[in-house]
Amino acid sequence: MKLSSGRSQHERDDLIPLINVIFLLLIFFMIAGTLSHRPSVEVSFVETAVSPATQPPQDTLIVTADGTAYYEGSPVAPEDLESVLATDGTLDREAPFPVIVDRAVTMSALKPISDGLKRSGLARLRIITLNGRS
Amino acid sequence: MRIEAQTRRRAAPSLTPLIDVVFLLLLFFMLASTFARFASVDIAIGQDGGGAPSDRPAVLVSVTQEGGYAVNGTAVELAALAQALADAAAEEEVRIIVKPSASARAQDVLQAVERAKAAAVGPVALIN
Repeated sequence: MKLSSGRSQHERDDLIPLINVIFLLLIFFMIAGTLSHRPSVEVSFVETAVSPATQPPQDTLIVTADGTAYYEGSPVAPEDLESVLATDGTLDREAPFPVIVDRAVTMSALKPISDGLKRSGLARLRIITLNGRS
Repeated sequence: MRIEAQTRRRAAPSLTPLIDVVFLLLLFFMLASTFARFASVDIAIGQDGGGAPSDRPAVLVSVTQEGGYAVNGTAVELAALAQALADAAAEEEVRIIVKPSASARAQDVLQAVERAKAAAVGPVALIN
């Protein structure tokens, strides 16, 4: 009886450092990380160095390396952008419109998309980038 | 027998479920959180005819397909871009026009826009 109680007490003492470490890790990840939406489409962010920090992006307009535009996860032809955006009642045309652009996309591939956004009455784009490690 | 039962009831509850839950929370936060530092570059996709035409002289920043930069036709390194713009704006107030080649990549163009904004010598426009 005495022997068995002593052993279980001993096992408990062994576990406490483990729990301490796990709690520490938990608190670290809770505080240091931010919960984020991952883009629904594979895209490599443009890297910048000195741009102002922003919130992790919500799912928005994404332009992949081959110049395909995705709005909220589904592909949109540039000529359809206007009608697709017109159905979005929450769109604020005065605020900068967040766009994720692949770093490798060329300007000529972006042209029809920015024209489509211009036709939708948007005046400013906010390109979401990643600030480099420097 | 009875004494033994009483002792067992007095013992502290097992820690294992607690550890399970903490592990689950730890896993959740490890997988769901990101340490990426997101930033943003605002660009105007100019409404033609919006606003009075500026009488400030324009400084042209061109971006080539290979990621080369030039200020008013003179090639500069990216690191020297802000200084070149500041030099060009030393005499008078200017506006900066970034004009990438059609095959320039978004990475190179946005870096130029970012540096031009950071140089803070005048309004920056991206012509595409």
